[in-house]
Amino acid sequence: MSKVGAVLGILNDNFEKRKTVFSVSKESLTSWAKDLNIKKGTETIIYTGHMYQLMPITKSATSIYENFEESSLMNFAPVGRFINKFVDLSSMSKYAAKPEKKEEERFNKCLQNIYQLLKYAGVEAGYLYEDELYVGTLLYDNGIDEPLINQAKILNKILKNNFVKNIITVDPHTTHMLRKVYKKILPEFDYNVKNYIEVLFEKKIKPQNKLNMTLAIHDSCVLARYEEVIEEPRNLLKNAGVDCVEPELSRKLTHCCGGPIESLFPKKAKEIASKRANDLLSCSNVVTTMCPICLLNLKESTPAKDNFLDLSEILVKAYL
Amino acid sequence: MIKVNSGLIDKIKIDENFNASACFNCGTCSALCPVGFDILPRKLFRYVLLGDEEKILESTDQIFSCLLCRMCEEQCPHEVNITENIRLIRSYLAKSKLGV
Ligand code: SF4
Ligand code: SF4
Repeated sequence: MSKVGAVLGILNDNFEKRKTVFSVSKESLTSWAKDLNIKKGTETIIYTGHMYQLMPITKSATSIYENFEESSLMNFAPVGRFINKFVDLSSMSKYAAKPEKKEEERFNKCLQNIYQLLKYAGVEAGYLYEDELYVGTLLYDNGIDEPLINQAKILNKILKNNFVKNIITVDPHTTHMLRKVYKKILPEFDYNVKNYIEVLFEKKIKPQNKLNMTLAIHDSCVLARYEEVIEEPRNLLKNAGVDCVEPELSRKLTHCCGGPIESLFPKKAKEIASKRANDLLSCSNVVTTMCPICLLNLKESTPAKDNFLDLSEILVKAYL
Repeated sequence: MIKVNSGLIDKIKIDENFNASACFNCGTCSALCPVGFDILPRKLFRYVLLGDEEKILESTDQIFSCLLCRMCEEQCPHEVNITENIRLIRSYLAKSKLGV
């Protein structure tokens, strides 16, 4: 069995058995919402898809795997898959790959920012808490689509039981999966799915403070090319007084952050990220991203880590 | 010598969106590809159309290195569904060859 097959096999086994790819406790998936008093369910919900919450563990796991990638230890990957069927290796790897507290706090804060911004826009969104599911992007992109049909059916049932009609997603990948892919694989999966950036734009929110700053925009491939959300973030930033500069490759021609291959080829992913990060930093010393994968991958590829900010981190300064 | 598997295309083409045969090998798509493997995507599509299973298997790592970022698709003059084609080739490999 090839290394690619073994790694995908572990992810697939986890998804089929445990409904996710990495094992993260329900508590850490929902802790961002702890003090926000969000209603369970309701007609309109915020749907995190676990992406922001998975970034801290992805960071630590990737840095370990990066060292293994070319070592002979990887020859044991198929054995790992066999053991993983019985013991949840990804939860054990949590001890080896311990997420950093400050990263967890930061990614949780982004979710809180998004929720508060929606509230400011007049959207009182509910949340599914521990009933929310990972939508399976990593598997789908790697050609493993059969377990996804089952996931779509389960999620559809959960959404129906919670009387959900409108889903507000927070990251581009979950937006695309729920808006296009789930609908394709399960025609009755029929919800009004929007990314939070689209919702804030539609609600024409007014800034409370004008920001006097310049920043470079990094468009996400999925948001810009798959979902054609391009003007909305620019409009929100410009209304807040931000001077947006664009790298040569932006909007529909945005350059990928390398993130989609970080679980299979972390070295190649980092090479791509570092090139993109340098292009962005040559435009401005502050860069904004709109996807947690882009944020993690770009910032980790450069010593100028602190210069990368999630869009929500900038918007809260102007709008709240 | 190429060992041809004439049924390969039918095994991969399980979705109406698979259109590797629309590719006319111009190479426009490779100009801005961030991963820069020369197999992506046009050579890969040739191997599939020819049924050259061996070459496809040899290229497993490159095939799974594609970011599905659609930079290529944005420039393709023939509306080839490049990323969906690659995803379906992965699906074939994962199921039939990699034991996923
Ligand atoms: S740009 Fe389109 S037609 Fe040209 S080689 Fe690439 S996929 Fe084929
Ligand atoms: S989708 Fe794949 S082949 Fe196309 S530009 Fe991106 S990495 Fe290259």
